[in-house]
Parts: sequence; structure tokens; C-alpha cells
Amino acid sequence: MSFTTPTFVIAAVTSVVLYYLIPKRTRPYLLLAASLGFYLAGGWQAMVYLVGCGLLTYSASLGIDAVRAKIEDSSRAKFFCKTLAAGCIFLCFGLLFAVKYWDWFAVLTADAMLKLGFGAPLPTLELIVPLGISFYTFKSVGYVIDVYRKKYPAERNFARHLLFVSYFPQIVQGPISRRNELMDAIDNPSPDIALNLKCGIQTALRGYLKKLVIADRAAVAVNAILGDPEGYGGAMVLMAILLYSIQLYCDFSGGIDMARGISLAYGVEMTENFRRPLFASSLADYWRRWHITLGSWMRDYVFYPLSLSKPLIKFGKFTRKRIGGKLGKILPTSAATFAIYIFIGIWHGASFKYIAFGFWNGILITASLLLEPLFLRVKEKLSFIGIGAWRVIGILRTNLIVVAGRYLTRAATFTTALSLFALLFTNPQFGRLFDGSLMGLGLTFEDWIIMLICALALALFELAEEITGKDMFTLIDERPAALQVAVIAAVLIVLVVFGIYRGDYIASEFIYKQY
Amino acid sequence: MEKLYEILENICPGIDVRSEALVDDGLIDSFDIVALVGEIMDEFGVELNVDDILPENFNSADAIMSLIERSR
Repeated sequence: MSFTTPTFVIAAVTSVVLYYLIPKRTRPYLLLAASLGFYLAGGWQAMVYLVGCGLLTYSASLGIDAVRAKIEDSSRAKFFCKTLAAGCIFLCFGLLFAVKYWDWFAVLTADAMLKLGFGAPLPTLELIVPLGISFYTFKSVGYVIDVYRKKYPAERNFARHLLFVSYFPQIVQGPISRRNELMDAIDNPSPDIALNLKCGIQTALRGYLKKLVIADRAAVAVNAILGDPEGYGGAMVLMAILLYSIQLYCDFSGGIDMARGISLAYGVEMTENFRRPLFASSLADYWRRWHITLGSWMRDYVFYPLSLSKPLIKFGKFTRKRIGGKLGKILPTSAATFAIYIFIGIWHGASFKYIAFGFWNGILITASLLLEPLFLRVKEKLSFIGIGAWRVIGILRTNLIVVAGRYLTRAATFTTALSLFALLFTNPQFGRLFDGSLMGLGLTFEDWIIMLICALALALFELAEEITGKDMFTLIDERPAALQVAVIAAVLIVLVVFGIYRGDYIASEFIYKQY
Repeated sequence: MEKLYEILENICPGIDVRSEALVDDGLIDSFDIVALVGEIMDEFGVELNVDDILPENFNSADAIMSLIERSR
């Protein structure tokens, strides 16, 4: 069931009404029932994976706590705890690998298997990919590691653990919450019902506007151009990738806004997942603003353990002694950073294009770390350029790099991405941008106008948030009541007229739900 | 303590090393923390590991110092 279907909206509103009618202590159980009901609507097979992941991580974390309580010898206890945590992580990621990557791996290695004399290639499994499996696997594994690191004790109530794993607003595309943050928010929801509903509705409306009015329209033009890239030429393909970048942001962050909005209506605030990535001044800054919870998960559970692993610590000592200077200091961290971006690339899916996407980000960020002293010297030499101008240059440069990287994620394969990019030089056809071709992509003139006005309004709104440092609620709350009502009414009208009652040629499917 | 201030200044030039919110105010990031851990292990001869990487352990020089003391 998608967040954009009327059935979902009716079910979500009903659950919010029920939530405030029942006693406070039973509310988490209502959220659990709603979450399981939401997931079950997608089929019982996927439910088996979800409950399996819940049972596995529940048992492993209880096992870790039990070992600590029963075994006094700390080194033996540590060994058993480590075995339990590692076994659980191996099984969780093994399951994720089986459903998402196995078939790709089997096809990829088919020739090699035959050449190596194995007789037959590895069999493909053709398993269903359960909705949101990467998201709930990552948050469940994070929970087990936190229990192993003694950040908090294991959850003893299975229903509560299953609620954490399956909490429906965040199961489709995140955010990847930490157990203590989400369960604290569920256990201590904001008591001000009017404020909860106001914030929830405003956030969800922004999400629906991004998704239904902007992203879904951009998708029509993107699909049309990329359906015949040779015919349209490199300039139009670049336009498609630019539109795809807008589509992806509005689709993903729109979905997150809907999720956060629904959760806020219960008084449960979820972790932020986007902080205006359009205004990032470097690629590293971009990844701190885009899909924040995936980045922080990678930082806490991969980057730190990797950076502080014995081989990298040894490597660090070696580079500090032998190479010295800035390079000697940051080489080990850069190696870990590079590994993280490869991992993030692979997280996106089973394809060489995603590995290439990881390399693209890893190489640029590692290079920027290594070249930082050089950049600082250049900046000093060009001291006549003010701080504000450098910031604008940084933002433009970052957006250029991000859009270039999107060739890799949008194209069907890695080689297609390269040929799409090459078209810009071999067959650009710049004239197609101005000869009315844009009007022949399946969108009406009205569609283009409403999409561009809404995208511009969104960008200006985010610019106001960026400059003032205030969030959406504060910015709206500071205005006179009449203006507040007018803004919300305008958004509602645009949403109803252009988002709900729109042409059948505009489809609605979330991009990130496949992850 | 002076040695710790010196390490902080070397890793993050220009920040207020006496701040009580090094992590909360974004004065140091994950890269700085990893570099800091490496330097601390070298200079103070203590063994820190990933379980010690909590924001509260790095939010101020005092917090870092007490982490070092606990690890001795």
C-alpha cells in the first residue's frame, strides 16, 4: 500500500483518531497493529522476513544481555557476546544478500563457474524483495550493535521490539532510526494534540506536494527523454538528468515528509533525514544533508569500527611516521571514507552502476580531503573573492558534481550511463532545448508551469530556512494567522487540483521503496 | 590538559578548544574524532576503541580527559 493511495490516507487518519481515543498505555500496541496491518497489505511472504528479522535480533540482543549477566569472566563473556552479535549480523545481512544480490551474483559468475570446471552456474533464487528490507535490516542490526556496545539494555517485550522494527511510517523508505530515539519518542509522545496535528498535517502536505505535484510530473519528462536518448540528443539528456535530480529529491524527501508528518500527528517525532541538500557547499557536506540517517548509520557502525580497527590504526601510525604532515594524518581516514562510499553505492542495489556511483563519490571526497591544503592556498591567493561568493561557488560546484553522478543512478546500466554522458559531446543537439521539444514529452504546458512554480517555491522556502536557521513550522508560525491559513489553503488547492485530480499519464511510484 | 588542548588545536585549527559543545556545535566531526583518538592513543598511551566513540565523550576537553582517565 503506497502512502499516496486514498486507502492509505483514510487508514492513517482513522489510526490517528483511534490513537487519541484509546488509553495512553495501549497506544504503542495500536501503532504495532497499524504497522503489521500496513505491511500485511503488501503480502504475507514479505511479513515472514520482517518477523524473522525481528525474532532474530530480539533473540540475539537478549542472548547478549543474558551472557553478560551469567558469565563473570569478562573475556569469556566478551567472546560469547561478540559471537552472538556477529552471528546475528551475518544472518541479517545474509538474508539481505540472498534477496537483493544473490541472483545478480549468480548471473555475473555464471561464465566463471563454468570455466573453473564447476559444471553448472550457481542457481538463481528469484526470491521476492520484501518492501523496505534494507531499511529495517539496517536499523535492526544497529540495535544489536548498540546492545553489544552497552548503549542500552536489550528489549524484553517482543511486541515492543517488533514495533521498533516495523513502525509503519518509516518502513517504506526510512529514516533509519535508532532504537532509543524511536522508542523514547513513542513512549513519550508530545502531549499537545492540536500542535501534533498542526505540525503533522503541515509536514505531510509538504511531502504530498513534493511527490504528487513535482516528482511525478518530472518523471514523465525524464522517462520520455531517456526512452529515446539518441533521438533527443545529449543536451536534452542532460535536461532529463537535471529533472531526474529534482524528481529524486522530491520523491525521496517527499516520502520522508509524509512519513514524518504521519508520525508527528501521533506526537512521535522521527529523526531528520534531509537538511536542504541543495545548499551543500561540498560533496561531503551534501552527504551530511542527504539521507542523513544512512550516513550516520555508516559513520557509527562502519566508519568508526573500520577507522579504529587494528590494521588501520597501525597503518595510521605508519603513515604519520613515514609520510607525516596532513597526508600522513588523513590517509587512513580517507581509506575508511572510500570504503564507506563503496558500501553506500552497493546498498543502492545489485549493479555495477551503483558500485561506480560509490567510486564516484569515494574518489571525489577522498581527493578533496587530500587536496584540502592546496585548495586553502588557492583560496588565500584569491582573497579578493568574499566568503559569500565562495559559498555560492561551492554550492554550484557541488550541484554540478551531484547531477553528474545521477547519470549513474538513473541509467539502466553502467555502460548506458557512460553512453548517455558521451552524447553531450558526440550528439548534443542543443537546438532541441528551444525548438518546442520540451512540450512534446507527455506533459502539458500547464504541467510544466505548475511543476516549475512549485519547485521554485520549495527552493525559496528552503533558502529561507537555510538563511534564517529556522524550520518550516517556525517560519509559518511567525506570520499573521490569516497568511498562515492562506498558505495552507493554497497548498491544499494545488495538491487537490494538480496532485490528486491529474491526468492518468502521470504515475506514482516511490523510487526508494525498491531499496 | 595542556597536551590535550595542543592536540585539539593541531587537529582542528581555529576552533575554541575550551568549548563545552565541541560535537553539539559541529566544531569537530567524525574525521576529527578518528584523528583525535589516534593522537590520544599515541600521546597518552591508552587504548580506546569504538565503544568509547559517544558524542558525550568528545563534547569538551574535560569529557575527553575523563575518558582518557577511565581508559588508564
